[in-house]
Amino acid sequence: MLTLIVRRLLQAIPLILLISFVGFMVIQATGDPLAAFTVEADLTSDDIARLKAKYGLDKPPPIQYLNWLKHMLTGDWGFSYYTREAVFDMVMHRLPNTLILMGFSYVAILVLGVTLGVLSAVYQYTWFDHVVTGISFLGIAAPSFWLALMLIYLFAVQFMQWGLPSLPVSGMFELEVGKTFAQVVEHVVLPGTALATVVTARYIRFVRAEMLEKINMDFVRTARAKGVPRITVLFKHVLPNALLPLITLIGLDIPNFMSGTIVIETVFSWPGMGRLFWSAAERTDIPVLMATMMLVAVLTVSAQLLADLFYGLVDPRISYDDD
Amino acid sequence: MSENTIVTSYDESQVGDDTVRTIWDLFLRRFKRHKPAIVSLAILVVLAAICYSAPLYIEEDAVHRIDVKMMRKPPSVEHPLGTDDVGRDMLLRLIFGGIISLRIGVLAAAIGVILGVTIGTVAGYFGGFVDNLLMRIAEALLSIPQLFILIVLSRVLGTSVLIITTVIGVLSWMRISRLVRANVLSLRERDYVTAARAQGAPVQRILMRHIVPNTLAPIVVAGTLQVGRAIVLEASLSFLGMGVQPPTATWGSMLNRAQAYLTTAPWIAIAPGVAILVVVLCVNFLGDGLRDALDPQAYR
Repeated sequence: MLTLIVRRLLQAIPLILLISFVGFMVIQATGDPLAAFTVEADLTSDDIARLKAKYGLDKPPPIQYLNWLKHMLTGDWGFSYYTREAVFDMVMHRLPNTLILMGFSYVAILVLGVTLGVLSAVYQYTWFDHVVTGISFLGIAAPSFWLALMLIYLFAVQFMQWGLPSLPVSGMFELEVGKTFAQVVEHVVLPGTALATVVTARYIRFVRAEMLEKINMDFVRTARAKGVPRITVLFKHVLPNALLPLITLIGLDIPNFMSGTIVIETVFSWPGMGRLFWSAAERTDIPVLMATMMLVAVLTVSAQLLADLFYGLVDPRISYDDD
Repeated sequence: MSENTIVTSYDESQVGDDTVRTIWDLFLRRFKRHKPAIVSLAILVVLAAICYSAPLYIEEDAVHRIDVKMMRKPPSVEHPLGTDDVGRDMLLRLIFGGIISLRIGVLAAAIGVILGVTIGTVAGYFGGFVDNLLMRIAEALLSIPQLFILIVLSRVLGTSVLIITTVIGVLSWMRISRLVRANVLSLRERDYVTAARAQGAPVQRILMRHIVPNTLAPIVVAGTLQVGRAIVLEASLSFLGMGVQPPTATWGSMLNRAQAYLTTAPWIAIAPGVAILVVVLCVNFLGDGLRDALDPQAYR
């Protein structure tokens, strides 16, 4: 088992290196880094040569890549072109906020997705199933940012017009009140829902399909024939088998989920990494862009790795003793 | 007719005049059973017709006409979907925006399919180091969330419609190539492939004549679903301001400024979103229908 973990970790490293290489190539493509300096015409070629040497730009690209990689790994992520802050600080400041948003969403996704999926499968073809299926089709097709706008419209604008208490739509907490737990919870509802809806819809369909597939299998028939009560069959035999592929799906879905945070955080002014990425993109703030992208990629790979390992742990058919 | 009847043993009286003769017949019959897919196809065809025929009888000017007196007017007889924040008619913008959104979706999916099929076939057929390398690259690219790369690339390369289409297309090969590769891996062991190789057929001929045609079914399904994904991706990009730039309308860029006017003019936000929703929904149903119709295992 331990060997598996180590092996997977080792496999993940070339992956991350490959990603970093892609990232580095993208940076190179953004043009001459000294362009900001050379705009002032009174730089002599000596000065330019000196600048190049100082920033290591006179070394061949592979060496530049290694230098960049070394900086990345030691936490020296450069300084923002725009605010001159250390990128590392900027990103780490925002990371927890994004994690809070994602955590809230994922809890909702798992709870709602699994529950509705299971119920939909158990009560197949009833009105409940049809309603849930219909809603999930809509949820899959709707762009998440549009859903966000609609949610804002309903729960903030309309509620206010109807005199109902409305949910806040921007930021993580009201400045006057401060960053209390209640404030954060109140503020995370709308963005979390917007983020969660599309994914939940997909999971409902998936869980439903998996459940239906398992319910029709022989081992279920056997259990029922033996006299095992329906509920027990469902929870002890069908559900675990149906949920197993869901773990794989979750792993594969994580990059999409991260992409979603960019849009949702922007719409709701949530101070997270997605929003940081977007504002850096607007200003073409390369250091921030690359650092955020790399961090997100690493997070994604780690999450997928965890999902893989978890799957290996949980699926009794997979044993690693005979490696 | 019993749903469990195997197709080969049909009864003339039940089947009617169009008896099963070819695989095409079989496919059409099974496709016609999938009501949502038929309806979706119809809707998509109608929408495309409306959008692409519009330039014939509506002048471009009418779309972009900025009428400051008519800003943010709610839906009325004159402007069925209202006007936007600078007084342009929403319905016209929606139609003309649809031209671009749909075009980007289809073209990007096409690029992705062509790339994906090529890479997947090469990886699957030749195996070994090439396969390993290609699939590792695919995995790496899939691990980076798409929107991140897209935003950075659009910053670097520009935001013309052509560039956006190409970038979205080029970043979508991974999914399809995996599908194709899986198929090719099983197909290359088939007897007819071995026979062709024994006869000395060159590699290209084997690939194009034997392998690729037999993987068409999942490719078609994946390609269709990819159109939906490409449309949403372009919309997200444009919504963030990193995609197609104003004044060119796409459904995403129309939503870009809608947020500010949610209190005063919600229709600016509702209409383009509904358009995207409808198109992606139809595309998904179509893909589902195609999958059911093309799946050789599901004789239902």
